[in-house]
Amino acid sequence: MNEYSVGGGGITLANQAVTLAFINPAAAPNVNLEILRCWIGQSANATSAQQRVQLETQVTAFPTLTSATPAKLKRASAASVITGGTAGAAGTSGINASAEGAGGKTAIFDDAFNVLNGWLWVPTPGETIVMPAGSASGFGLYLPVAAATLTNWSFGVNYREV
Amino acid sequence: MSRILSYMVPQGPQQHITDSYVSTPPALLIVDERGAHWALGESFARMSDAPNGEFAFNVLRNGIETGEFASRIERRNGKIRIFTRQGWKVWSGRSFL
Repeated sequence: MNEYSVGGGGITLANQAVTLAFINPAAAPNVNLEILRCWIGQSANATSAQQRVQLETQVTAFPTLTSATPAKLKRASAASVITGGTAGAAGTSGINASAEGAGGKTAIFDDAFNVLNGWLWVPTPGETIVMPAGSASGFGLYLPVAAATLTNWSFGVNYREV
Repeated sequence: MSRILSYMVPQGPQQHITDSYVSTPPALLIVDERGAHWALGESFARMSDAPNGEFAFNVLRNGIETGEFASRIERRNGKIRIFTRQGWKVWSGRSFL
């Protein structure tokens, strides 16, 4: 199985709701994307604060992002069909949105966490999220409210091509 | 060989010890009284080696493999314990028993 990761570390967020990572499946026919893990952490300080988080899908217009090329989790894997991109277009991925885009978001999971502990989402095998190729929407790891501390965030989304 | 991400290892003087009864997931990591960082790595256990109905991952202490696969790490009553195919195991200071 080919598994990949899109994320970043030491990131400074804008003082607004932010899509941390966004992955849009490629046009069909192509592989589907099975979301296996999402995480968020910060190392800026030791101040306790609660932070909301959502796993969501978004249709066009997509967020404006910093391009992020998926990293291979297995060295022998080929490069992912997903490539880095700034517009959230089909077949691209990016991080740390500077603008959220006008497209509607649909929450899959809503949660909240203490920033001191960070947040890790690992589904059971039957709960994985599959984003089919040719989908009109992309998958986002999203902070629906601005973070209290904006610096030194790390986060990521791991997925499998199936 | 799984990746070692920054949160899996101490980044400087530790300022925060994780509260009791915190579990990863949903927490990202657990820090014990000795400042050790506990986290689940990215290597999947075979389903036959994982607790029924769950994914299990390699257990890392300060980014170093402990040789165990678990679906959860908990800090409870000052001890680190993990949930494995064989049930709960507790960190003895050297290994999980």
